[in-house]
Amino acid sequence: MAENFRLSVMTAEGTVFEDSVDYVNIPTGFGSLGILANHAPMLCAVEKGVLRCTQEGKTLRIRVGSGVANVENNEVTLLLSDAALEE
Amino acid sequence: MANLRKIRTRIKSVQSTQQITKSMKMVAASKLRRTQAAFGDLRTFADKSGEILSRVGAGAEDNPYLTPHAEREKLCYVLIVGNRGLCGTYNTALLRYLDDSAKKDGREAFLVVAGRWGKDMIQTLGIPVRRSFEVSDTPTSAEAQALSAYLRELYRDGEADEIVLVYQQFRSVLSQNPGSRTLLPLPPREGAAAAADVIFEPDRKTLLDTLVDMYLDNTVHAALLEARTGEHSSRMTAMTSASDNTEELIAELTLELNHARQSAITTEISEIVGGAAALKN
Repeated sequence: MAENFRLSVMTAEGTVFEDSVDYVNIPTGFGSLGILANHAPMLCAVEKGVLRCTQEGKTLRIRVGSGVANVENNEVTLLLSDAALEE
Repeated sequence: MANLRKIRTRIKSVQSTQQITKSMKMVAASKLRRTQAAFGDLRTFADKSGEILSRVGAGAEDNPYLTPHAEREKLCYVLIVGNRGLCGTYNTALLRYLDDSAKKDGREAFLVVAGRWGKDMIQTLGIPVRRSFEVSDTPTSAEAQALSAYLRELYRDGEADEIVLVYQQFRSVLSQNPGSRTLLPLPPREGAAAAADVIFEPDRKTLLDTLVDMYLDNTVHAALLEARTGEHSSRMTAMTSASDNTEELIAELTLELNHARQSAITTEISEIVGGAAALKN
């Protein structure tokens, strides 16, 4: 099984998503960016779009606004202007 | 008998007032809970973004909001008033505070108002109002972003050299103090150097801009929420004491009513007794 890491998606109005995931794909100004576990520390600007993350083989989609993503110690934190889980 | 009826109608009207104050108190209490919860959510977010901002290292060199203007002549007050009255001295105390500090400061100033209360009252201060913003009872981040974007524009275009938020700062449910907080220019952060081993995508400056915007949005949002929390708790306190007062008034009036009723009965009995005695003779 692939190693997993913690993903949290936060907005000023609350945390939209917080759980362990195997893989996350973030929309950015220079294309989409895939992150796996044990990524090097990184700060990255997030653009409006759809974020996809894989959790035990299932893929979740979250609509996101602009903001930043912080990667540190196997934890990915996204701070966004707005975000909503897609059904 | 006329007196009795008068007291009864008064009791009824006091009772209906009490019903109103009690329900206003309940409404304020539930709005207070909602606003406080929103405040908690924002705090987690704001802490996190502050933490990340310090990783980028906020030097003064490359962000317009971290650089003070050469002159600091034009002052912009952002006055956050309540949406309604009936909340004790919440709004009036704030206006008095603003009046005092504007007079003490003496610089050319203008106002940006957030909240619906007292358009006429604010005019009496003699400070021109540049624009008013509608803010709901539980301010959303969209409302905060609109206000914050407008303020950023004022600062960037040189319309204002300093932007100060004036609002009721929340100490506890029972006490709020009028206070102010400088929004722009941002104070340079002491000892903030970019973490060396971090990858920046696309580059440090873009991220710094995004994060500073976010920081300003959060500060405005937090101030709005804090002011609203104060408004709701102030109204709750005012309505609690109003309900208590009506309770007291009702007790007094009931006592008066009983007195009047009793004396009416006494008069009636003595009349009957007097009449019967007259018949006997």
